[in-house]
Amino acid sequence: MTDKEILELYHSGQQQRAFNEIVKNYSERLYWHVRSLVCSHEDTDDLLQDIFVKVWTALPSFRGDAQFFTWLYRIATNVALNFLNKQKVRSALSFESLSDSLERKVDEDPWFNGNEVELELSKAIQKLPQKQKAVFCMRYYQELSYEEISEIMGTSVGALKASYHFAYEKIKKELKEKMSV
Amino acid sequence: MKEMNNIYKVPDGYFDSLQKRLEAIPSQHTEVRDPVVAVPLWTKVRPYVALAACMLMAFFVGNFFLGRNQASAPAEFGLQDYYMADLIPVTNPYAIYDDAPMDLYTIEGSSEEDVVQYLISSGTSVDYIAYLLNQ
Repeated sequence: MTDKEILELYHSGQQQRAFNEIVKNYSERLYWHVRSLVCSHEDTDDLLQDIFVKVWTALPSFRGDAQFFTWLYRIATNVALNFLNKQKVRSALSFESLSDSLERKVDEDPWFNGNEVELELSKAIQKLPQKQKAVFCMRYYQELSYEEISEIMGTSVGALKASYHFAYEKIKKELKEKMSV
Repeated sequence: MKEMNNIYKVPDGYFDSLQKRLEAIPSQHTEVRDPVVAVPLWTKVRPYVALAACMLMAFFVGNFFLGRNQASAPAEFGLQDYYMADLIPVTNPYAIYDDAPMDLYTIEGSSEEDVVQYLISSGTSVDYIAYLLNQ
C-alpha cells in the first residue's frame, strides 16, 4: 500500500488498519536507520517502540506538507539523536566519551556480523559528531537523496553535501590509519 | 537501501514479533480525542474581570478611608490669620480689636515680655533669646 493510500485509509476512519500498514512498510527500514545510529540491537528495539508511539500520537496532526516517509524518518532521527544526547551525559559521568562508548558497543555487539573492514568502518562512523553521523548513515546506508535528507534534518542540501564530504574524508583517514597498522 | 543485515544480525523471527508488538500500540495508547470544544468568551475573560473588580474595589475603599482622614484635619486658616495669631500680644490680647490698622511687623502696646513670650512659643532657643535681649 502506498503512503497516500495509507493516509486515505487513516482519514476514512480505519486508523488501526492504517497504522498496521505503516508498521508493515516502515518498521524494518526504521530499525536499520536507528541501528546505524545507536549501534545496539536492544537500544534500537526500545527506541522503535518510542518512535511508533510518537507516530501514532502525531498522526492526526500530519498535514501532508512533507512526504510521509520523511516525516517518519524525522521522528525516528530525533528520537535516536535525543537518546544519544542522554548517552553522552551518562558517558561524561563515567569519564568516557560518547564515541569511545559507541566504539566499545560495536566491538562488544554480539549481533555484529561483518568482516574486519566493516567493523572498522562501523567504529569510524561512530566517532563522527551525531548529526554528521545521521547524515552519513542516511546517505550511505539508507541511500536517501540529499533532498530527502534535507526534509528530514531541516538543513539545506548544500550544507548536507558539505557535511557528507567531511564525514567521508574523516572515515577514509581513520580507515587508512587502522588498515595500515 | 544497502543490505545492513550483512553487517548486523537480528534474532530469528525478530521482525515478525516486532510488527506484532508495534501493532498493539494503538490499543495501549488510545486517548479519547475530544473534538475541539469552543470555549465561551465569558469563560476566558472572567478571571480578568474579577481581577479588575478587585482592584477597583480596593481603589474606592482606599479612597473612602483616605477621604475621611483628611476631613478630620483642622481647616486651613488663612495666612493672614496665622500672622495675626502669631503676633497677638500675650499681655494684651484685646489689642487686635483696636481700630488702628494692624502693622504686621510692629504692634502698639507690645512689650518686651510679649516679644519674649513670642520667641519662646515659636521655639527659639534660650541662648538666642538671651542674645537678643542683650542686643
